[in-house]
Amino acid sequence: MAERTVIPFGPQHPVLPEPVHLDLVIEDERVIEAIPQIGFIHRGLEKLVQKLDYQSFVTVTERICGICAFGHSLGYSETIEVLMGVEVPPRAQVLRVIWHELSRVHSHLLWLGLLADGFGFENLFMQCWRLRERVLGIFEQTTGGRVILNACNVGGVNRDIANEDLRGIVLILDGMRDEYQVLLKTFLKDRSVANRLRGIGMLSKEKAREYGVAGPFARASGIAEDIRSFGYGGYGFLHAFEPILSDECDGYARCQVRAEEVVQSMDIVKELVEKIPDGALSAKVKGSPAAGSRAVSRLEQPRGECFYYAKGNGTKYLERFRIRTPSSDNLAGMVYTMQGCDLADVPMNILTIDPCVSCTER
Amino acid sequence: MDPQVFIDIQLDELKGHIASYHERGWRLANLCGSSVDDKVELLYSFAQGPELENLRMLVDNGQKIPAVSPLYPNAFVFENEASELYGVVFEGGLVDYGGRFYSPSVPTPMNPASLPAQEYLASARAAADAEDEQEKQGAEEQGAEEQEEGEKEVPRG
Repeated sequence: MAERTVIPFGPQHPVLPEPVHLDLVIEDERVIEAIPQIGFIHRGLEKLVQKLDYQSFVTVTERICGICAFGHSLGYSETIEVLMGVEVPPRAQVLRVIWHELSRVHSHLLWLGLLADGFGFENLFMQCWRLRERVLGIFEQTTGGRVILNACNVGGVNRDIANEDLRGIVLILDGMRDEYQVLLKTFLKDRSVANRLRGIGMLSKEKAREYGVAGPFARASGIAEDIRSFGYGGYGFLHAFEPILSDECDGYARCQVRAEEVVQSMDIVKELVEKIPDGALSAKVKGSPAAGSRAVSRLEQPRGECFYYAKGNGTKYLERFRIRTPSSDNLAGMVYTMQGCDLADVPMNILTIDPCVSCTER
Repeated sequence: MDPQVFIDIQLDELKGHIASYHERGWRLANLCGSSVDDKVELLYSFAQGPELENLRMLVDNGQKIPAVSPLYPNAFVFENEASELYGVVFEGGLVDYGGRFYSPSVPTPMNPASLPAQEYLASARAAADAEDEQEKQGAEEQGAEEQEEGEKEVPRG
């Protein structure tokens, strides 16, 4: 029997943009077990909700993570709106979805670039990030910020996008789409990409269900779950929504699902720009969440289902606010996919799952 | 909008509810703790498609709770989190990090009423009192020495 060795992986590693530590138990360069440890950037932001009033706390939620920033402010606002029975104006609902889908485009392009960088395809990495810049440019044009948008509030949105500017966004996305098709073809047809990713980190549909994984990680294992398909908020304006799936269950499938979701998000933005209603941007929110009131809500973040829970106590400060991020849901699945993995494939496997540690630790 | 279904349960009903959700193919969407006076409130959320149900359970600090991670492996993260941040004691969990998952610098920072937090506070207070006492003693000794030196000083002229 080969000797077992424990190799520390992370928290600092070239493929990890954020710190997570894994103890890899290996036998002949094959991983037998992976034990994750986090806690390097835990900031206790959930506790901060007791010190900041519920309206000011939106600014904190945007700072949970630099990639899912807008999504967290949206998820938080939606939860408080349920808690207080606030009806968001339709135009605000649609604007929220437009910004959120653009965030998904930028998040997936960032990830595709990191993946390409991970397997040494530097040019592909640069092209992905070059396109991502245009989405950041749209953010800057419409909100003044590139990462922290400060566009969402409890009750609606802080700013409007004029209809002609919305048409301008569609033109930018149409221009991007043509260039993105070339990248998409490289990700999905190039042999070097497939050779590096096929068969890595297999997670069957049954195991994906058992381990409760979420988002593109789950959809790449054939699980048709996407909160957007329930038609909540601005997604209700869409004619139809079908989640992008793959049955291949490996790292390549996860790449394929995310790469195709970029086009899907561009389509959503285009459809919503055509359908956006006129009207108010924000509903008036008065008073405080009632004592003992509770609300839950879910949002499809770029990495999957994000769960929010809020509890009021009759004051302007919340008693409790909880965010269960998709990455914390995917941790058990990630550990499972490590078992039997070659040591050399560990970085690629982690990349294809795309854990967001800032969100997970909050 | 997700359905807002909250069901209050007792500790002895937990296992039955968890087994029922698991058998019916519901997914564990969340498990979290929150401190309520000197107790801890646990919220278990289960989802299946657009359906969502939440079980709410109030337990005493230090009370042993059967873990759900053997049935729902993704719960190992939530259980270790609730254990380290709120002091919830889970029995039979898949992985128990023993306080080294988040490695908080103080015990159960989100729940000051938990036993480990109380013990930590008591020992921190005792250490602070001892330090004060030591400083006070040091200041007294220094005062006495200064007085002694003043008496020895020969007046000029």
